[in-house]
Amino acid sequence: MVQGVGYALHEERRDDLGTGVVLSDDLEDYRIPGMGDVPETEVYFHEEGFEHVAGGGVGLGEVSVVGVAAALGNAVYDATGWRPHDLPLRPDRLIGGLR
Amino acid sequence: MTTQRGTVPTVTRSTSVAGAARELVEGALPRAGGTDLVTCVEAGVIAPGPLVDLVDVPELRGPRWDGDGAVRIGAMTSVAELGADPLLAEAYPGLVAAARALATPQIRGTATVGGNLLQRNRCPYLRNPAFECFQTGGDSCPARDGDHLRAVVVDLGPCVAPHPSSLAVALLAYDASVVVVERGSGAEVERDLAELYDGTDPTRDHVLAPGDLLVAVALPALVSGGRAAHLRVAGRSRAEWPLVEAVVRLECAEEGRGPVTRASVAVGGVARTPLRLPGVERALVGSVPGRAPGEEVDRALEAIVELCSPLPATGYKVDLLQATVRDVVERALDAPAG
Repeated sequence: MVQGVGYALHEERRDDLGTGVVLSDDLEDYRIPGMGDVPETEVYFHEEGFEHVAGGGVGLGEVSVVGVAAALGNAVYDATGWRPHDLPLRPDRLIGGLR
Repeated sequence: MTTQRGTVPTVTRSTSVAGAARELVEGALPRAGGTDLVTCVEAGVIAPGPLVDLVDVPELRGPRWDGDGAVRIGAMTSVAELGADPLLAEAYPGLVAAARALATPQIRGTATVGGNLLQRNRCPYLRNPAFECFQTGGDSCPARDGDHLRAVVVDLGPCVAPHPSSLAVALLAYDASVVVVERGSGAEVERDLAELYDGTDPTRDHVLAPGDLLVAVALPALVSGGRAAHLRVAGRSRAEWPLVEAVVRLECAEEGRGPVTRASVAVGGVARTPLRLPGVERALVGSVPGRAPGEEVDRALEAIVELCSPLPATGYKVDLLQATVRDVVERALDAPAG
């Protein structure tokens, strides 16, 4: 979930196009969500998963990242009427979309 | 340019302003909170050299009020101390709000008022050893033709990095001045905070000469009936540099209930220096607290477009600046009178 918020809102490799040097080479310039950027999250366990795993668990891994970005994109559309098609949903893209 | 990772500098811990000033004349760099200094040396932004640590200089710490309600805040007062001071919060709410909003609790506990005002900018090119720019002895600004999404929208000169200090924005709104012990003479000189920065000089982030020591910021006594608001607009809710930041301060007649008699509006994140918006300030005179701003204010907010000279990727900051200033104006008109 938290990784999905980062994928949707923050994470982005930024390059200098003239030289190819990566500019986002630390955690100040390669942004990930902090505590204040993640909403209260309710987690539901699907309890009828793999028979060969104790407790019937199924590991989701990064599959769970994908839906978050789509949900946040839908939320932006719902709030503004503008449908984003690029990630991350940066402030400049949102303002450009609302013009 | 080479990085200096691993270099251990000599550090002298001074216990007096006079002692620290002597070390600076000898060529040492001042270290205040030190939250960014090591990073800057490692990235080649600051040349390595001996340091004089100011943390043990009691004269530089805390607010000192004079009898008339004016205050001097020592340069080594931490941002957290500034944010937690009830007397300062009552007198200068816009300043204290800015202090509480910046960086993280850990950094606010260590970073200082003086260090915040004199910090280096956050341009990713300046801090990347693969590039040279005006600030590191080069003769160009690679951000201007490169990646400048977070750069200025009011283009004052060759460098396009916005000024990083949030406290400078708030202090500018409160007509603050800075007290500097000048190299050589050792004399204390007080000058307007606005004179600390020169937006047309691409080679440095403030105009103090090597050896000058910022010892305090001085805030004038305020008339009663003041209101203020602050807003920091960033891509993340905490621990993020502002895209746009604004402080609005209003003086109102009838102990705060009457119309605005004087307004100051300062903005950051948009230019090489924090800026005042005199057009909006003039338009706000006569606005009534608790009511929406009138047409004259609307026109002044529209006219912000004319101040702006966006780079190819910073046009969004024009809208962001207008919306932020409007929001802070409305918050200030609704704020409790002090």
